Amino acid sequence: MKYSNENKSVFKKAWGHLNLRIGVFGTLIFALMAIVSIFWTPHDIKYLDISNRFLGPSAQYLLGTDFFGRDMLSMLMSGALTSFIVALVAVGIGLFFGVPLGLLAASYGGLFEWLVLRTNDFLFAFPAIISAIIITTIFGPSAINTIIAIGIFNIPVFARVARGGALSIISHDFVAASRLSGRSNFSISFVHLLPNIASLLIVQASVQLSLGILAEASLSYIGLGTQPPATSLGLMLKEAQSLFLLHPMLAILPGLTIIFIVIFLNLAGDGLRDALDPRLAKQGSLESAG
Amino acid sequence: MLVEVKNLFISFGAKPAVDGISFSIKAGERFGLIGESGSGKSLTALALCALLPSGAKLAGDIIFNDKPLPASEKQMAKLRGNNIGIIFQEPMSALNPLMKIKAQIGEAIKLHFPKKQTKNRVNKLLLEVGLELRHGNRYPHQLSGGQRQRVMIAIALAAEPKLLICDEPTSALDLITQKTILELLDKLCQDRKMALLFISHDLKAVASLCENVGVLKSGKLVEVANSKQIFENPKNDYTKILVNAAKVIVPALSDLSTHNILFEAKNITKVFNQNAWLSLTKQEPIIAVNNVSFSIKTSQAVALVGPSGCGKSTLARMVVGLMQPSGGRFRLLGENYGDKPHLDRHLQRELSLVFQDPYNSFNPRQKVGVSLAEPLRLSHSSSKDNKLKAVIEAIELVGLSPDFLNRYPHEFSGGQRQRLAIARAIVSKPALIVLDEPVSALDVSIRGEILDLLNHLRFSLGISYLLISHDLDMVQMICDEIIIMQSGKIVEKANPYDIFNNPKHQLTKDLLAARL
Repeated sequence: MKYSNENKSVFKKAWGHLNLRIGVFGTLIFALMAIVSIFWTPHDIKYLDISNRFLGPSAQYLLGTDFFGRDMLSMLMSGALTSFIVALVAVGIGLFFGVPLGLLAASYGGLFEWLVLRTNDFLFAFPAIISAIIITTIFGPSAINTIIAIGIFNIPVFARVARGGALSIISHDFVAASRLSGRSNFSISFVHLLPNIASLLIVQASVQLSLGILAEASLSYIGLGTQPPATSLGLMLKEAQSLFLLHPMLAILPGLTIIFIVIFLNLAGDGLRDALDPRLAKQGSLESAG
Repeated sequence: MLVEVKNLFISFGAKPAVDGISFSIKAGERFGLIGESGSGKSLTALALCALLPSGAKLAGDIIFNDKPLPASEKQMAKLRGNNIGIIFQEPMSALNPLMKIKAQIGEAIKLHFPKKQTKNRVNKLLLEVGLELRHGNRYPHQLSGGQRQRVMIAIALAAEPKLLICDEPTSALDLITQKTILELLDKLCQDRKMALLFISHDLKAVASLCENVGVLKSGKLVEVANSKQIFENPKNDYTKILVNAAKVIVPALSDLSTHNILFEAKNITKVFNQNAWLSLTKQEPIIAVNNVSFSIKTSQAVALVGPSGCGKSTLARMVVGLMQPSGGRFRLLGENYGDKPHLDRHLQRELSLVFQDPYNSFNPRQKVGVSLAEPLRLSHSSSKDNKLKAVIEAIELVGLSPDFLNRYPHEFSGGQRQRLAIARAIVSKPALIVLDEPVSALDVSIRGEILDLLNHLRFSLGISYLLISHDLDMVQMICDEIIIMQSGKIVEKANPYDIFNNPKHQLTKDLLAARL
């Protein structure tokens, strides 16, 4: 079986992919906005200026102000930051725990694999959002608990993808050759299996990132995620809900931001998938339920 | 002339895949096309029936029955249906798995003959291709590979074509079945006075069946001649390599009577329990290897030969320690093993394995040098410098340059990869190397080199071989002893001379008769 080895040419080809370009470019713009908000925002969002509330777009407030007179652009920037951080850390949790579990399940097999798979099934049996609600209601709503709740549901996704990819690699002769060279299952998992499934994991990570942003938005929207005075895109939607008919822009702007980030991330993920390996990509899309 | 191909060019993009070939086939003539993978032989066949993949550019003339191939797809389909029958390599993927055999043959017949005749003709065809009438009521998965290929032949014959095109019809079959299929094709062509275009990489198969042979190399027809002439007096250099690779050169048996016994297998048994953990239905365990004993002397080469599924690969995996036997013991250099799931490091160092498929045996993300050095993990005392020295020594022993160590596996050809695999096997200076079909995945012209290399390494390094194969000719060229296995048991054990001249067991006789 031959699969794409020519790393450099693959990445060159990938860059020729229009979806990937749009996706990466768009994601980078939003990510940059979010990062800039750490150091600087046009206005301080902790500063409430009731006298200037519900202003329309102007030179001073590019996208207007909300019901507390906070600058909408600044709110969107730091809201996007929260969303990105939550999703990124949650993907990190999934990768950090899920990938080793999946790899070791594939290479050790037996009882350990059985346990990993059944625990996976157990976690998959609950809709992720319901379990996240349970976790945040028990431990209290906060950004950190949101991260943990979303992260936990990334673990089985990555474990499953890693195990599936590893199983298709593990039957190759070079793994047997390595075993004859005295490598343990543990060491084979990380030296031989991990580099060969890396592209699969990158694609899955981009999918989980966009799912994570959506999950954070939903949790914050029902009041179980980020708490004021911090802000996130979902929280902004929630706060704008009661004012939607009077001041629709307050809901439309964060809503559009979420939609754009998710679309760009999905485009980037699709492009990566097509570019890295069309054959492995099919497996990835089946496993993306988050 | 039934078929005339004049100056045929086929290209994908700029590079021609078939580069100006011309040949002709008379009615009733059998013509063989030989070439390695990528030589353009299958494309030529597809061009003949206008089935080239889209994107292929075609130039030159193909004349069938004194008329050029029609341009319209509709007329071409008619011509194809009435005059040309095609058989492909893998019969399973060419048959509909949900249709009974007789329905599939019948479908082809209905297109050409009145409906009333269908049943009669299906039965006649089944018998003609050597199947029984009851086979018509079966589904493809209930037939063996050889039987499926017979069904394909019956379907191809349904319209009583003037030309039968066979594209590697036997390469997915074992040797004994291959022989019977070739005999069937021979008989059919004679009875029906049908022309045959037979495409293969196997010179011997082609020569046994065809009157005339064309040798293709990278899209060019380098030699066209009578098949006798090709064998006895090849003109082109490439043809000479092919012919030499097909000849069996048997080296004199080396005298090993004074050598010590290096390795022993005593009553080895392997049972596969098919029941999964916590499964509810009980299944019969499979006995893959059944009470097998043999021994190998220092620098002796022993071959395990048998049909697929006879347990030889399982035995090989147990010998190197990838699998634990269910019963019995191995003994290497005076030490027992096989009673624990893992081998001790010092024993593991003395054993290595060369795999069948060189494309599969290197990690594509690792430089070749890293892969070659991996077995050195087993030696305790080596510094980085010593390891590098050992790797360079090994790669030079297999005839490659140390510069290659910094490259990735995909930069090498199949033959080079197999050399690298051999280098990896000898890098830890083992006492016994298990070779699992070491040349069967390689093009014919390279096989000779690899076998020479193996012979040379064995005598210069004093390594013993356990060679797994189904090919008696190949085995004869490097081994001192041949063990014949059938369904997990050893049925005959003798030196090559006795096996070839005085075979005792029926399977041995069948294997010998299947050689071309």
